[in-house]
Amino acid sequence: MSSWKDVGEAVPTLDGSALEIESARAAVRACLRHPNFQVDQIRVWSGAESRAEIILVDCISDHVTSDNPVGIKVREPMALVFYPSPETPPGVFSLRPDFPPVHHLNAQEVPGDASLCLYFEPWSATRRSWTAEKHLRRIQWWLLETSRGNLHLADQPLELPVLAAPMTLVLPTNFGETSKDPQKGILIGRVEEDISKIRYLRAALLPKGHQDFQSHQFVPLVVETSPMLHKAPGWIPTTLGHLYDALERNGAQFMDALRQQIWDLAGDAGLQRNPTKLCVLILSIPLVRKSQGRPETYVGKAFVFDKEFDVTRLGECLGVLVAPPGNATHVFRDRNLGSSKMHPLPSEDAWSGIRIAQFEVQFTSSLELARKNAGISDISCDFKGVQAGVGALGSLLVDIWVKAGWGTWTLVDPDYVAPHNVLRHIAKDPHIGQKKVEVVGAMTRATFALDSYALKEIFGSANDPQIQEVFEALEGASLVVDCTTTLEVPRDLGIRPGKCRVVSAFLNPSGESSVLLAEDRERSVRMHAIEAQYYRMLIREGWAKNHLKSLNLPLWVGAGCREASVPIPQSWIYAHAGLLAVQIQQTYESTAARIQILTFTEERAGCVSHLGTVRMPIETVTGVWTVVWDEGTRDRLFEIRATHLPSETGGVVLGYSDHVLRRLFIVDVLEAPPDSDASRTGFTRGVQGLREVVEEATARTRGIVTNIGEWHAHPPGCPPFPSALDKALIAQLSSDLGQDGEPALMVIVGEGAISINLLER
Amino acid sequence: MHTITFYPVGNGDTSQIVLANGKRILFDFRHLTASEAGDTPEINLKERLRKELKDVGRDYFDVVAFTHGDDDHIANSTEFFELTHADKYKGGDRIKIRELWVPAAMVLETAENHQQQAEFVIWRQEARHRLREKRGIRIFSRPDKLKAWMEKNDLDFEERRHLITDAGQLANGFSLAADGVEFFCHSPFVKHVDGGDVARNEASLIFNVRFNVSNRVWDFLAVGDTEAEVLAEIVSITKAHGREDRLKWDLFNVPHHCSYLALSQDKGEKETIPIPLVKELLLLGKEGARIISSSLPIDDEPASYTQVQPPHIQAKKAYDRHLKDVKGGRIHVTMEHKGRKKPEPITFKVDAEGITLTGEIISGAAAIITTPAPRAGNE
Repeated sequence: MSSWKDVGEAVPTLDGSALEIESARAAVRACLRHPNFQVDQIRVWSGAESRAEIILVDCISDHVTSDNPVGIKVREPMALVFYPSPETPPGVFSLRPDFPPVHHLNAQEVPGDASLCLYFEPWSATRRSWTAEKHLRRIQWWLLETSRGNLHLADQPLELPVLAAPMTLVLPTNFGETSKDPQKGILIGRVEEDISKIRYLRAALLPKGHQDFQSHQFVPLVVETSPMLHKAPGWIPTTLGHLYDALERNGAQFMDALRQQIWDLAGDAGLQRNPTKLCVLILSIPLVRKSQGRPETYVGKAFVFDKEFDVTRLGECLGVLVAPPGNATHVFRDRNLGSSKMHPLPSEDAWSGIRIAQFEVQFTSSLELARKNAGISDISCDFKGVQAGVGALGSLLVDIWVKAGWGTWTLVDPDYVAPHNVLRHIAKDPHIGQKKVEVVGAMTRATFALDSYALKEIFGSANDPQIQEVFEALEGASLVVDCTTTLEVPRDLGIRPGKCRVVSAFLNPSGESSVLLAEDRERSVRMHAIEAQYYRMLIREGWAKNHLKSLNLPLWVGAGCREASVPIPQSWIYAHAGLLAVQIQQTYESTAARIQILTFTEERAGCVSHLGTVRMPIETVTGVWTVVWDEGTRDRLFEIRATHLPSETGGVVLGYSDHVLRRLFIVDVLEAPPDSDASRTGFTRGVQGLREVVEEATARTRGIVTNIGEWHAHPPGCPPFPSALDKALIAQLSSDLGQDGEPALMVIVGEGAISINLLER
Repeated sequence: MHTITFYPVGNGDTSQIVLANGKRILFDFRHLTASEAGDTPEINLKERLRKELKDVGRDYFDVVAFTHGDDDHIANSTEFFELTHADKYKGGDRIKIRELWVPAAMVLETAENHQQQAEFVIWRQEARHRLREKRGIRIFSRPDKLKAWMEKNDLDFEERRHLITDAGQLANGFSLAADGVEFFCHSPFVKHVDGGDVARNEASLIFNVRFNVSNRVWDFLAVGDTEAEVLAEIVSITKAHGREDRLKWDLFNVPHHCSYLALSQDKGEKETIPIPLVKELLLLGKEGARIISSSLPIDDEPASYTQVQPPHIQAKKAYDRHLKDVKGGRIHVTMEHKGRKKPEPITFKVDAEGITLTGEIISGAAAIITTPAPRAGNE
């Protein structure tokens, strides 16, 4: 067991001054201000090219009970670990060796401190709104909800004490029944050529004697274990000893059956040594919810043995096979003296250190993909486009446009095709494990005769500044269509200078609606500003109440916390893709910016189109922050002020921040609550009904929009600059919002002028 | 589920236990007249308690316990409660007390002429009246002085013996079986009262309040104002009687607004070092235990270290250290809870899993929209 409390060297000070990583320093500051985090020690580990800064803390949970059944303690010693690259999420580890094996822990290659799985969104999106203060609150939230048993959804599948590995073995759907067929053999092949980069292996069942077996590289060993109890995952086993501990000690016995397999395989003729063939152990583990219960499900796990341990070496280590003296090429069954039985299992020293690599087992889908043509007319249009994200929607759009001959496309995507993708994506079963861009490229290109259609693929993210090809593609294009379903890619594309117009399209969580956001041709209204105006539309319009809410239960498609998908009929995705394909074509023809939401009618017989008003954005730079607002907000502030004159008035400002772009977005301004106190010389904002309004705005925008500050009016003849009272107000605001690590915004509205004031704690 | 609530009354004490069966036990009462205007951080206690009772359709507390007669524990109480000994304290919307709990000292204290209108004198009269009437009263400790006073006033001691609870006994009227709670009296001892002049802080009420929920036992150590020597005596006497379990705590309302004097006579420069027996008491905190300081906010800044009046940062540091040692939670300060501008009462729930702070984790942004903004504008 390794622990972060022993990693690196302790530094003499507890104030964070010895740290280099900004997020780590911010975390120390946040801990020192937080009554529930007590800093014990700060450590630094420095390697040749990497570094980790470690804050050892006690995290005290006020609302966790002393004796909760889950076993979370009121005071938990933790390590908060930070790395130099902002791309790497900070780690949060429990330093308690007996920390309970709960759900929502991260997979780890080595057993050690339990690693909390804090964020359900990918880190690339999470980091946009990440602050050290919110990080601490998230840890508290995780501990509290875990202690209440709430972090495990009721329908989440049963789990093993080993976690999902990043590598996958794909088995045929009917593997369970057919693998016992004596006429058939299992042939395992790999998708990647480079063995060090293997992410996927594929198995096929072929008649014995099939010619492909002559060149096969893997020796499959298929074992069904005895039943075991459903348990929360702990770590990924990396040695046979780890695997033995994780399974045998929880009731899932496999070792005897594995030895028997090798014994059977050797037969009386023995086995020839062949170090080029790797052993693959395929385990089928029956899971029961309570002991003596009937197996509720069978879980597959696969393990590839280290190349030094071909089946003959493995047999020797496990006390099954023996090499006769003088015979360097063959091994034979190792029998008890005078008996046909094999020797008992040797001591652990002989085999526990054998390294294994875990592969997740997934099964191919046998469902047919039905495809529909959206039926758009063939528009000949000579332009270069970039398709960012070729997931379900992106791949369909490209497929439609390529079939219609509309544009010349460069596809950009950082993802691989997973088995469940094929039900929605244009990729098919043989593409599993390949890069999405290459599959979509090949398939769409294959619409036309070989090499007759120019299309380029780039494996990576469209907002990755490190990829020169992406830069060149965007410079040369007049349209980029973002279908990444991320927060960050469209924002970054919006900030990016140049002439390449940005359009973003996505489905809402229920799949009832699709959304189209488009910059104008001149790019005076950028995508990041349009995003904010889209949220304003959601907050103000009655029909948008449930637009971003998830009404369906998640569908588990993998073993990790984030591998949930929402059930949406693929017909809906096709329908939206078809409509969006037309709308994006029309948008490209016009010069104006657009916010459009297409929603199914109740009978799903068609879609209603809601068009939002796009207003000209205003960007105000204040210190390191840029406040992004627009003429819509400006007009509304003047209007509310005018209605209340001669009294002052004011209210709460709604919006959100992006800490990577250092931008604060104003979405909307609220009128004064009815219990506010307003006069000619001052204004005290009340609270009546305010919480409900803000919470509704937050709910409607999926947690993005909240209150980011206050605004108030100044009377005629009085410039919109902060008075002494105003300065006290913004100081208080920054102290409150500083608890979230956020800057405080105060907007002052005077006669024909508005000032934007920002203060950061 | 039972609850225990501590009210933000500045450097003073007011707490209330509400049992699952609806019974309400109030410890001490400090109302600040200034709070009635609504712009002090301290709560308008009268308004708050009146509303709580109205919400459950009651006009009385089952028990009101005054730990001792200091002003920060009884302030303005004689205007709020119905007193039975004189008509001028009756009627209107005064809140009734079914049983009044006081230490013997509050019956016996002497008052100078100029103190005759003082509230502790009024409560002394009320306690004496109830004792005379043999109802609605419980006296803690049975010093010779009390006996002497009763003889002098023609009150039969034996007839009133059941109204008196000694240190080391359980208060009558509550049981784990019937109410899910019992009150074990640690203090005052007889010698606190009989030994010369009565020192209020030494003779104040200290209870082990034991809860039982679904056969799980949780302990609340309720201490008014007291000093280290008294706590040390409690520890040694309780241990001598083999009752160490009564010293364990899941929740500890630390004495005297986090004064160092409850730990040691020596404040210490950075941290108070508790005297050995008090240290023993602190280490009897159970895993997950929490501490309450009914006091003004406590800041760790240079000026705090020379502050004369409690709360003392050195004492808080000592409590922090011992909470860490017992793997406990943290120290909660009544005047800090949910913001210093207008702190809210701190409520703990008592259920089968322990004594736990109620409420949820909230963000800074969420805190803003539930309180009015500071005044803005162009003066």
